Amino acid sequence: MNAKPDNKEILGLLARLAVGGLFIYSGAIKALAPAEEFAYAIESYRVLNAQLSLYAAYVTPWVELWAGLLLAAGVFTRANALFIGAMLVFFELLLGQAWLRGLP
Amino acid sequence: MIDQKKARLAAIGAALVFVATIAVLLARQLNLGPERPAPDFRTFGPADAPVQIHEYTDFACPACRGAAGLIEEMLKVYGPGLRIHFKHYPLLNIHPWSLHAAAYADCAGAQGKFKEYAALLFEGQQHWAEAKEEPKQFAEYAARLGLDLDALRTCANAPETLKTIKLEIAEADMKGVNATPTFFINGKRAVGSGQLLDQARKFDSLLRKASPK
Repeated sequence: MNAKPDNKEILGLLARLAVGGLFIYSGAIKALAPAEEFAYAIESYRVLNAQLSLYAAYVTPWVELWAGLLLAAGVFTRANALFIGAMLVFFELLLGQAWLRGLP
Repeated sequence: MIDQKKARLAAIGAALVFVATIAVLLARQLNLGPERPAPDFRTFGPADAPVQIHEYTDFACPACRGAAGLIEEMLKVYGPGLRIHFKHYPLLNIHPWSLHAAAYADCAGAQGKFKEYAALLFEGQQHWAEAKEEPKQFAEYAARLGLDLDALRTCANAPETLKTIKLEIAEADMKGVNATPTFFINGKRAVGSGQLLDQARKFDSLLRKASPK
């Protein structure tokens, strides 16, 4: 009845725990700190102004935390993995534009 | 059957999200402790000004240099409506000479030249911030301002001076300060010049009412 999990399943579980854990950690430390601190970091990418950066700083840590948690727990895994992948691409684009513009 | 499974997953997901949210909200300890006034030589503007700004600054931080100019401008524009409490928050892990710079500035303040010494520290920050040994600029600035260098050195190394600064660091830590410049405008937090301007705009009517016609 209880079949032994194959290597692919174990690898999938480990990957989920690693990526989910990273998002939980990243979201939690930001959600625990004042939003203004994270907003200041967002401002440094020079994509959003101070006010919009603050709104983004209120929302983003919670989204990261919840998405990481659901992925690690295996709830709606496929949809969550896609969502987290999209977030990662977006973060990389932000970093990339900062690098291209030579921002400090 | 599939719908039942989905519903169960959704319920588990909602429970996880709820528990995590409550746990993080309970673990948050932001803005503890009162805003203590800074020494007289580090406060600018009338004591009864309707808008009180507590500014946590590191002399080696480039963003703080920019914010210092902005604060100067705000003091000129809003005059009697604004009081600035300048607080030290040297980032000891990345700026090795910030604590010393703060001590020298305070001791220059004891000789009546805090503002001038602070302006020189900001102006020359790229020359002393990364120095390997104690920067010679600290003495240079003192000479430029005609300060008593021996007294300044003795004061800057005195445990009492360093204690004052370390108490301010502890006070800032209690308030969740982690980056410079951080401001508390009538208790509302702002990090960096952009947020400072945004917050100041919210107190615009108070500032204008008190400012000279």
